[in-house]
Amino acid sequence: MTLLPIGILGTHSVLPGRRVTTAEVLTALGKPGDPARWEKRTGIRARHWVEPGAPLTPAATEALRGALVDAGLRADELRRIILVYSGVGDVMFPATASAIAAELGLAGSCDAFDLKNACMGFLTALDVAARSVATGLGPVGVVVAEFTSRAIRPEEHRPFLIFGDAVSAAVIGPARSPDEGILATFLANDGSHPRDVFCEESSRTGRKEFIQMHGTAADIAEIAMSALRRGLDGLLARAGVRLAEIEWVVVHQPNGAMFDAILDDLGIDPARTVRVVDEIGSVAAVAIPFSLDRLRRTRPVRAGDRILMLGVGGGISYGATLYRVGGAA
Amino acid sequence: MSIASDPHIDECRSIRPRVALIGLAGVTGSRHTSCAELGARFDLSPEQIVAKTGVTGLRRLGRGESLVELAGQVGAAVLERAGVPRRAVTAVFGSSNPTSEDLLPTFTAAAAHALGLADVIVDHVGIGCCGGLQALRNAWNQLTVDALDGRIGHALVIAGDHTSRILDPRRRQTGTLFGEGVSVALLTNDPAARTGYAIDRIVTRSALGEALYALRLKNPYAQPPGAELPRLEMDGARVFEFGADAARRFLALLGLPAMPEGCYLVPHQPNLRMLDALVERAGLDAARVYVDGIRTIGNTSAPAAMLGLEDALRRGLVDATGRVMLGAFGAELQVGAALLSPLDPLALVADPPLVNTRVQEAA
Repeated sequence: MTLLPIGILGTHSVLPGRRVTTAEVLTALGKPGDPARWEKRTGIRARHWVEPGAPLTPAATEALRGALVDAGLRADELRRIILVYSGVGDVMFPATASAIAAELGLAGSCDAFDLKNACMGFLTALDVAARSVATGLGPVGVVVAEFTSRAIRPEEHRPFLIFGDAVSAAVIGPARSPDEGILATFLANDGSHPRDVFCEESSRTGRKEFIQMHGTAADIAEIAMSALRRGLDGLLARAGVRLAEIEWVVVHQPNGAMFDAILDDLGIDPARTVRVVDEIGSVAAVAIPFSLDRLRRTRPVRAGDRILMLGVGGGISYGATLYRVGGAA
Repeated sequence: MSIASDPHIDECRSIRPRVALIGLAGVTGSRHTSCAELGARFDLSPEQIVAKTGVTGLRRLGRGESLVELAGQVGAAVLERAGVPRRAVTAVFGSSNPTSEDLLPTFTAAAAHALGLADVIVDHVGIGCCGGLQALRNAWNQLTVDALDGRIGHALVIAGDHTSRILDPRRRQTGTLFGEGVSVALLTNDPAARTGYAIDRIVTRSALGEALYALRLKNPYAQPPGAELPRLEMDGARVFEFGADAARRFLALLGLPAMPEGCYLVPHQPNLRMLDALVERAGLDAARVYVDGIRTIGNTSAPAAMLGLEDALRRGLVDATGRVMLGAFGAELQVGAALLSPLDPLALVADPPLVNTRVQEAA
């Protein structure tokens, strides 16, 4: 496959709202007994939840501003803004990406739209952004913002226990060196399991709907693992590399136990990845860009290193991207 | 008007492999609502509705009809007519407002599944009436880069809205305007493609600050407990002012000083008065601008321009040897335009229609 000559020029993450411990969540669920047991079972000690009604746009704008600073770019250099979430933005329409652009003082100089593909939203948007840059439309700001606490409630225990709110942004632009770019992308959706993790449309049912998880945890985990394997195999075949050759791996983190299972099942060395789920919970499409940001900031990522980003989400959606770092990481 | 021509268009042209639109079909809802019925509901005469909107009747989804199922039917028909097997489809790009079956998974993912597609790329954008064109642009992007990478493939672009689900039943301004349907377009980067249209240029842009919330549907998750579900809000005057300037915006986006000779414009179908103003302000030949969608089916939001192109082709409104400009604009306010060159446009339309009953019933 030909290198797609783009660079991840900057990243930044924001944890909005208040830090909420698993002990607090259990109290809200009427199960205040043994937080340590649930922390071990979910692999989640805490997550952030925004106040009810808090708008997403300020945190998303802050994340994108941070990513622009990291990239050394001005906001008016952006040619496109893609906002990703699994549920909803600040309004059902127009696109909340437009409000972010307006907050940045942009009007008429770039396009802005919202994109959804469940937990795979970032890798899907990264693909769109990379192709935009490659066809002359860049830099592109990708903001992933999940305020999932809006769509969970104690009556649905599993979502209530694991989901958190987070925002992460990346700025995608032209490659900084000849060898930088996307080495391979493998993205896919398979709609044969649409009702494992889902949220009905409120405008259809006439009432506010919440995230539901059907099927046993084991069933959901098996479906997700199978999809991850397919995504990884598809990517490695396309890129012509072996997993062991790749320097860094960023993988979706639906909960701590499953993150461990993913690393174990796929044979990913924990030293080559970062773990964020224990402190931020399951943050849906933010998990990968948040981990990428953490990786870039805390690990010795060097020019020429390859970063594998691998994910799975509702729908089901799955896939992976292999990026080679250029210039200064 | 503040939108300058896009400086990246030249870059796009210099590297652009050809992406062609080789399949197209649409369907509207089976439920027809006459102006008399609308008038009785909103205490207006049919003449008043026609004078304000141009609408002579609306087509909406009937009981039991779903956007996803319609998308599956139309998509299957498009693929069959184009002779493209499902395994050749590599991606599905879609758009709808939050009016389909589920919030998660998306309308586009559900439509791909309804089509029997698995292991394909799925992108869903939410962007109001410009969503169909944005999805078209994303598909163009995908296929262009694939072609540069030496990969030939096909992508479906699916747009649909079930807007009556978000309308305030008490508001005549929106209640008399919106129809419902689904459009499906098939794109390819196969250089051997000889049917349909080549996509010469396609650009989208957000005008933003001018009237970000001129059209708005608030988030139900940000409302107080027990609050009614939000309904579509529209500042008609601001939307009108933006839309009336839309043709000039299309030209600016595409880097064109004027409408190319013989080019036929298929714009979004928001309101006939707005379209009349659009024609007048840009000095266009009204005979070369499609307006029949708003008259016969109403404003269908994201699929409106593609439904319009199919209708215009079917009824011979478009010169099969001429270029076509698609233009869309909508909430936030987003604007997008595409310039198409003919390959064999008439091969796109089936006679009788693949699945669309609109022309016969609304004529």
